[in-house]
Amino acid sequence: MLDDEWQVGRYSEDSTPADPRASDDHGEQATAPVHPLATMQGAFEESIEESMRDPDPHRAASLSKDTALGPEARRKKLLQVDDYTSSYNSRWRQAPGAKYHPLWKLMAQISFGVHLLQQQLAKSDQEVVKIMHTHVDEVDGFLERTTEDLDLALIDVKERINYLRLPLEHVNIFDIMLDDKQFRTSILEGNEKIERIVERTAQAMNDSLLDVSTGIEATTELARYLDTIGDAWAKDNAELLGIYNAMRGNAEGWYRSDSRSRLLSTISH
Amino acid sequence: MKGNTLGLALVQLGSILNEMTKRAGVASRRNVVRGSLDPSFIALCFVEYPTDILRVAAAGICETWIQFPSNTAWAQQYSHSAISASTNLSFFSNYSER
Repeated sequence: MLDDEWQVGRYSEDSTPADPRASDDHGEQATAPVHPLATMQGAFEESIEESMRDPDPHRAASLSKDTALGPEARRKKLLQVDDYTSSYNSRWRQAPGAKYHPLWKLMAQISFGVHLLQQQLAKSDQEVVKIMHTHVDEVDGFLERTTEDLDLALIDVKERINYLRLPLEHVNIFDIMLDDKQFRTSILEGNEKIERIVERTAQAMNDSLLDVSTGIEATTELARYLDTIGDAWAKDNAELLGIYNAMRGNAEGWYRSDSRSRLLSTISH
Repeated sequence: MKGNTLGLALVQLGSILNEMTKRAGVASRRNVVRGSLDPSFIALCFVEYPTDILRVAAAGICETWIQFPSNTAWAQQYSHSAISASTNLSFFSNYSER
């Protein structure tokens, strides 16, 4: 999920960390540099550990396949497979060793990328920008998928409500029909299936809400960091200034500006 | 907003399902009583208890029994109050005549 290429190791190769962590017993250079935001240090270190670990090709392929699914296919899978949701939170739940929510790790990586550019620590600014772009795309994709999933779930649930409330608006007839055992059985069996749909949808919704609230927290931290460093460092470099402004725009956009970020700011309040 | 709307819709759908299930349960119990008073079944029970006490299976499978004196007046009253209009009352009538 987090780009393996995001080499914190840029530090290890260039050996120019601002404040590297303690070396290990063999004198090898530490792999986790200090993140500019203390609140993101833990998430940042965990994201590095994940990227350095041997990737699980099956898991990676599965995640990639899931995010490539359209909203209808995702919903179908959600309703059919017990432990499936496309949310970060569900993936986090399936990784018991992970302490930090994936969105925290993603924002930690993005803010660290800005830090590298601002401190001129990157071997290649283009490479850093490219990797940041990947992370930004992932956040955008998350917002898009979450919006689509909630929209589709709402359409599905409302449609079922419209169908099912009809008999209850004519209870006299419905009660007579229920005297037929076969009809009654079909109603009860249908209800069981719909109860499962309600349960699965509620689970996915709760996962999405947790993702969103976490996304808000992490985005707030990123925006705060961008405000703190300001744009003075990039004044003489139009490209860097453009990147900084774009990141500010992303942070604001994710939080509240466009329709997708309205999801972020309204879904959890 | 989307989350709140979906949450409310899920609650509404859950309430509808509960109401439908409740009504199905009521209908089921209603029909169990009716079904248990099927004349052929009562006849079967009567064959097993051809004494002065008429036992009527209330659950349709002879698990629960309703007892009442087997005189004509009781049998007629019970049959009229508990058995649906579509149920054949001939057994009670025949029994009362016997």
